[in-house]
Amino acid sequence: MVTTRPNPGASSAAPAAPATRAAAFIPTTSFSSAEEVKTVINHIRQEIGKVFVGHNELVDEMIAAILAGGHVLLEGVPGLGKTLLVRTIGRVLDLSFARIQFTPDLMPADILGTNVLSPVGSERVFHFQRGPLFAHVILADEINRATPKTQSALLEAMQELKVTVGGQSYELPQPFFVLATQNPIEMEGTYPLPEAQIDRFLFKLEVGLPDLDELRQIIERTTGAAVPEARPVIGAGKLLELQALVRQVPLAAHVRDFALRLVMATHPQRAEALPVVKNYVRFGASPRGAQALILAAKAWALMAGRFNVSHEDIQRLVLPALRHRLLLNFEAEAEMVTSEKVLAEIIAAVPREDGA
Amino acid sequence: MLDEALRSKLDQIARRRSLVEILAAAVHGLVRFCVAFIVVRAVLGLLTGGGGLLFAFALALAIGAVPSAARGRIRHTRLSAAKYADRLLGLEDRLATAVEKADPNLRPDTVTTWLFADAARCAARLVPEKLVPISLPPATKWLPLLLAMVVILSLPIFPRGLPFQLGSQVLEKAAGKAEELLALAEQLEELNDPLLQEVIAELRRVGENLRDKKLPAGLAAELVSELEKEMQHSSLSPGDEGLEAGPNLAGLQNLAQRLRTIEDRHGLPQGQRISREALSRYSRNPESGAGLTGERGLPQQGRGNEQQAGERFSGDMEEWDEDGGYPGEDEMGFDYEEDPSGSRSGRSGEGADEEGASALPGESGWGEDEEYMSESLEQAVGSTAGSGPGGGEDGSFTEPPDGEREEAFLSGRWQEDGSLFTAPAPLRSAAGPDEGGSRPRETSTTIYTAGVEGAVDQESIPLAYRLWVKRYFEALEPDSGDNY
Repeated sequence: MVTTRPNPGASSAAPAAPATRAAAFIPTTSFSSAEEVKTVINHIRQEIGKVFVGHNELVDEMIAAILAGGHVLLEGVPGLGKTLLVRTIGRVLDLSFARIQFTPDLMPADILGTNVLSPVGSERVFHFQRGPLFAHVILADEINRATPKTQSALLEAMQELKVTVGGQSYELPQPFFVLATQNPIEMEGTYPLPEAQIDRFLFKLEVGLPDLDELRQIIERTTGAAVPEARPVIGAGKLLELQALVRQVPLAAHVRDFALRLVMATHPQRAEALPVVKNYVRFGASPRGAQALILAAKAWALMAGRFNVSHEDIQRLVLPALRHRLLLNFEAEAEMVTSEKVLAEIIAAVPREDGA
Repeated sequence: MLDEALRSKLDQIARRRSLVEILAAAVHGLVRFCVAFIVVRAVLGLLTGGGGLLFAFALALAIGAVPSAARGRIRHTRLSAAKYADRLLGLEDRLATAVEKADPNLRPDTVTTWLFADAARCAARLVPEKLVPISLPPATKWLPLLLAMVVILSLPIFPRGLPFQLGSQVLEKAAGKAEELLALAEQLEELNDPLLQEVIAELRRVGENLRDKKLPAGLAAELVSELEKEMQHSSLSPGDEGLEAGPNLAGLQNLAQRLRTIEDRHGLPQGQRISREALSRYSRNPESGAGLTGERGLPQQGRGNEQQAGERFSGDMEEWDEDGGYPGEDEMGFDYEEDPSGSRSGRSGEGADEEGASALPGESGWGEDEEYMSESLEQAVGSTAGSGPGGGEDGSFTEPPDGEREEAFLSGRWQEDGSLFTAPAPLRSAAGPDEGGSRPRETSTTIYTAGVEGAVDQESIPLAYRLWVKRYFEALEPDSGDNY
């Protein structure tokens, strides 16, 4: 059982903010110095790297998402090691892991759990049988193959960190991550994620093909007699402490404003929107996108051994944090304009200093 | 909290940035001023032949100063200095974030404490002298050239009279007129009178200035206008025969006075003015052959007053219209009664002296056109008659309307009735020096008759006066001698 206490950094005078899990579960940090934080994060990288070859940036983005307490949508063709990566992370973080293979006939009760009638002494009572969702790390494999009804069952879990079955709410274990995968090329028989669902993922990461060196290492490590295995580095408690530290990372006003200008630049309704935004974007990033960008940048800064968010952090994380939050129009599809291209132009156009 | 050394260095950086910015603003303002001045001055100078210097200066000053003033001074704070250092040293916003979070009223959390320690380590890399070198902006290298051009363009280097210039036609006309003035100066020189040398030099200088188009168009136009009038009315124009009878002193004085007034109004420096004193010296010199002094020029008829010719005399100009127009008959107070006997019975308040002016034929003489009579002469005339426009019945002078009063040297002599006789005189007296300044009346009258007949034929005599002048001299015709 994880002991929890309120966020000490939260001001009592501040207006009541929506309850988030990070605000609700922040343990007292046991990290005595900045060096210790750096050491732990580097250790996590190394352990993951033992099993998952290459894709260092992808690994770092995954770690950043976990430190920020967000969910990640991994997109890539089959066979690239998405499942392996998620499993390894669960292993390194010493967290419970559950894999759910999404299929069209998967029902919400199959992942959330259900009330079952079970004998208790001489009586028979309903007892909640927890589903696979009750784990720290959930691998939602090929999430776009489930029906929207089942996909929506994840909404409450991902945002509220609890599930409600039969009028009864059940808290999910902390920390809780949903690491979902989807296949971009097999569109037949799939159900694209609704906007509300996709907006709840902190990052959308694209898993690319490994290069030759990486592929060579993959073959050597996985086809030999000795299969490398990652060791746990930190537990759930330490991870929650790290998440609390991430929220403490100071953010200067001018850097914050830069991030907000980037988010605002994705809105085609604004008069000063870039032509590419006006032409190809139907809807821009929501305020949740700005939250995701800032939180991820804080985690990224801590992973880099810094204790402040920089402009570079913001710029680096715009793509993973905002690419899935831009809804492009038909013209963009017709002209093969991707959200990555739009965001790249936005990054190039928005100045660091207001008016600079 | 924020490290003390870091804070101190950031403050130094902020101060140095302010200094550099002020320096840059000053240099850029100066460059803007110079460029604007050069452009405006060059255009105006070419168009006006050197005019518009003050306007160009004022406009350039505004162009140079207004942008800097409008932009205002950017206040460099510790935070801005931290951002500057972050950017230059690649510190990824460490210092700026630390400075912003260094609020003494807030208790820093764990990561913020680590940030302060991290920022303090960066303080060693901060060298304000290297980060913000006090140096002049690159535009400074153009300043010497620009300033030199400003100085050069401020000098009177612009040619006048170019076809596209404003007032070029006036200057062309003035240049043509200058030739006449130079010719007059040449003919004066032929008189070989040392006392005239200075006057000649002045006239020559003015003529050369007009010829070489060195004067502004406005001044040149006025000078030409006055020259035309004066040379025409005072018969100073060099004719084919030259100044055979000698120059008219009144004309010279009028010319000098007019030119001086015009030049004064145009604010010409002292060295470029025509010296009226030179003319005055010439006219009052007892050794001069001008004959205005009683000793040589005209018969000595005694002195009824202790006031001597050539003494400083004060008079007024009441009878002269401000617009230079001719005074009317009434204004002139010319009260002439025709007397068949030819005796002088009229009061000539305007300068008709009873002895007769000693103007030679061809000279306009006294009072035939009062407008062009010199100030000094008119003053003297007023005092002589005592009843003319320039003076009261008792001989006193009335103050000019605008209260202006001017002193001038006059030449003349006091007559028996106590009035001062002064008149335009020939440079060479009709009476030779051996004649003691006296001559027979018949001779004088003959001379006058010829002169008057010539003068009356001139259009320059106002119509209102022609008849009076003619009658006056007809009345002076020699008769049996009873009236003599």
